[in-house]
Amino acid sequence: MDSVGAGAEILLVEDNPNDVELILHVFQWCNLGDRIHVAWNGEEALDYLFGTGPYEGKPAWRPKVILLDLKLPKVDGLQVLRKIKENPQTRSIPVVVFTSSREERDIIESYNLGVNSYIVKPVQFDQFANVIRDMGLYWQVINQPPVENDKNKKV
Amino acid sequence: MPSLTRNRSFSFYLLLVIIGLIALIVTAITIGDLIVVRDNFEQQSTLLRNETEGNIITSVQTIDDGLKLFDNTLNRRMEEAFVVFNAAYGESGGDPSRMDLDGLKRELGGDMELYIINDSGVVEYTTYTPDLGLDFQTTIPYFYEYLMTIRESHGFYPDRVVQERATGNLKKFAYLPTLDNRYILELGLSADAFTSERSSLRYTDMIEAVRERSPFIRDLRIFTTAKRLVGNKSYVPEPELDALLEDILSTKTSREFRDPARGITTKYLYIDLRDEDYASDMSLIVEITYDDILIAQSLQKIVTFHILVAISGLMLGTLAAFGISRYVTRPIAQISEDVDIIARGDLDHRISMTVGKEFGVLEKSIDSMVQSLKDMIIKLQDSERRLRESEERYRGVVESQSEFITRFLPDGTVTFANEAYCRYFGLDCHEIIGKSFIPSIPEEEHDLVRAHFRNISPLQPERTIEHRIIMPDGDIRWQEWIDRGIFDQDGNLVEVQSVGRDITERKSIEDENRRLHVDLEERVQSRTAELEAAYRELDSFSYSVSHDLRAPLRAIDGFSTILLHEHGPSLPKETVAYLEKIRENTRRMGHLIDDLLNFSRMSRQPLNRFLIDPTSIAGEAYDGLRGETYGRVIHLLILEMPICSADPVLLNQVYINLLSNALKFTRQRAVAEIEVGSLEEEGRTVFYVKDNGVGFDMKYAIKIFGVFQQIHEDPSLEGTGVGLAIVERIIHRHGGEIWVESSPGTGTTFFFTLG
Repeated sequence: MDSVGAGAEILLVEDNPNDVELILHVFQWCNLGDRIHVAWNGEEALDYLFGTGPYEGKPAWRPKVILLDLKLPKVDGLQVLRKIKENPQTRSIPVVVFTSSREERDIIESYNLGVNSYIVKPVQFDQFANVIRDMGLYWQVINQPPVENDKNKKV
Repeated sequence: MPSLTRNRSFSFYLLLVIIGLIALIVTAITIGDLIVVRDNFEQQSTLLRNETEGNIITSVQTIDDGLKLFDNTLNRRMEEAFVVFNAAYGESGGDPSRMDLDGLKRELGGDMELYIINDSGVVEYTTYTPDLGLDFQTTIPYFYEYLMTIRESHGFYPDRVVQERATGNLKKFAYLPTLDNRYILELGLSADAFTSERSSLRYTDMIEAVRERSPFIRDLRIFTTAKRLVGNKSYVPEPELDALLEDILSTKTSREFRDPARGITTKYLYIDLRDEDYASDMSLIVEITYDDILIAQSLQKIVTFHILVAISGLMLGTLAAFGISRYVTRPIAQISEDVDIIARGDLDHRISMTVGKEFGVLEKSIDSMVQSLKDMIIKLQDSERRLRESEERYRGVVESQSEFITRFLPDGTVTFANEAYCRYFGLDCHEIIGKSFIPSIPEEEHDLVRAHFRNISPLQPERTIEHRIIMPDGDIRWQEWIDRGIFDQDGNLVEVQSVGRDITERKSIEDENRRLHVDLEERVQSRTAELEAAYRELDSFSYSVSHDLRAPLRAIDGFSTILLHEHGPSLPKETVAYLEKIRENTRRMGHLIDDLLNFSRMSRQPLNRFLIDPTSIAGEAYDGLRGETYGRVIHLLILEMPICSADPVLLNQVYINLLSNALKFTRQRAVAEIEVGSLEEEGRTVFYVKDNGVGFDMKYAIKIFGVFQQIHEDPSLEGTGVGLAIVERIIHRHGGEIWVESSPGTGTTFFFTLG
């Protein structure tokens, strides 16, 4: 999937390879999966967004939506969220927290940091697949992004 | 000097009063008598004077009458002389200047002077040269008028023997108007012709006689209307007297002058001797000089006599008063003597006085007073005895006390110390009294003890203090003292009473207790910290569970589903069935994890109790269970329940779980009947949820609230086994109880209270 990274419409931040596999599978089923970039941890997600670390020199793209898991190695999901929402360049990118945690404190903290949506991953795969499909449709097709900049142009 | 007079005896005062009264009476009598006597005396002397004056007047009038008679004897001779005189005037043809008056004088005997007075009252011709040209109009006006009157008439007008104006010699005058009424002829017979005959009727003799008879008359003088002194023709009055006499003559009134300096009173008596038959006014003024000194001396004598009488009266009175006062005070002195004896302690001595009713009463009074005094002394002695006994008892109590009792003055001087106190401090109880003793107090507690004593006040006289002292052997001991301040009326601290005891042992127990308490607290704190750490661990465990256990389950279910979806048709039927079983188990595992997390969260969540309506909460809970009621016939009855105090979120969970349970176990019934309500039992509210479900055997009742406990074998009735455990946990957290009544086939009722 890295091949499509630079111009990805969806940035998926997820460390669990099973979940990545399942999510991408659902996206393929729904024909939504061709422009997804996967960041395996928080640090990588930030590097991708701000053109730092391994992404130094590469053109920075604004995805249509960021799917963010909370329990991440290196940089925690809530920290990634804070960085995104603090920075004026990335603040307007919709962020959807997609996590197993239904802990109240996670939900409250996420919303406090400015998350656009909070979705708990259902354990049942049927429901899981439905949620991903609806979410993909909603953010990629239904939702109007803040700036229509010629198909995710450089900032 | 009240202190001096206070010590005088009663008899002295009595004497003083009596003497005072006598003095007053004697003085009053003396003065009254003196006034009466003096008035009498003065009245008498006035009477005497009046009498004397009356006598003088009578004498004068008598003498004057005599003189008048004598004077008239001379008339005949003078009448005869006038015949010659008048004839001579007739011969001269009415011109007196042609008359030989001296020849006529000789012809008439030579002892008569001849005068011719003209119509202007002036002596125009005379043989007596000193009177030539005398103008009567200016010198004697009344006489001029008389002359003018007779000039108009005819006849002989004799006059009295009078003193001649110029010389003062006596002369007898007579007047005859001329026939032509132009002149008045006048003849003046010299005294030499009749002096010897007239001398027997002299005023001077009368004066001598009056003087001799009246000792009060110092001098007596008689003045004529010509202000001449009778008996002394050469006397001419001084101007002052002259003016006075003139005044008396003109007003014809008497006068009186008092001259206290010279001791005389001068009386001027005007005696009216006028006679219309004669030209001359023979009136007299008698000047009587009374001697007042004589009267004053007599009065003085009277006063002296009265004073002497008064003094002797006073002396006699004093003697009598002294006697009376002695007589009167004698019984008082005797009573006083008797009372003195009683006062010296002989209470059985009787008052022996029996004179007079008043003294009898006094005697009785004193006797009864002595009696009550006796009673009082007996009572006093009795109460003193009882006081002594009580003090002995009190001392016994105090001395046998194990507590230390001491009293001391503000400067530390000990006024009392009981045996326990002395024994404790190793003192001699008899020696310590009156000496200063202050137990040795550790330096660091000095301020505390000082403040303690400073705070003792009349408003808060008693204070308690605990402090340490250093014993004589160096041992440090704890004591508790109750100090009570004794104050005088002005609020000054006069003494302190201290009651104390050794509390060293108690203190050490207290210290131990305190140490144990601190220890316990420390342990509680560390346990609490451990517990909190455990809670945090549990927290992170739940977090991990929710996160980490779900992910693998999802992966299992996910890949199984993908397998079934993408390769289902080509898989053997058995494989498909196994994959279905895998999916079924992952679903149950997911539920288990959720319930477990719920249960854990329920235990940790804080309890927010307030007054809520359980009826509406049960209704809301049922509304949330719509998914489970779809397509079923359910008769739900929610009865009105009383307002109660509970956490609404947790109570909602209770009803969700109980109703969910009821719905589950009534699934086999054609009509499910569920009733929610409450009842009052033993003063508390018991809530219940009742169903007509399958029920269970009560021998499993204990197991029903256990976590993961399943009592039904029917797979359709399987749950996670956590729901009722959560309910029980919530009820217990409210301090309530939960129990169940059930029988297989008839239904189940859950009861709970909310504490």
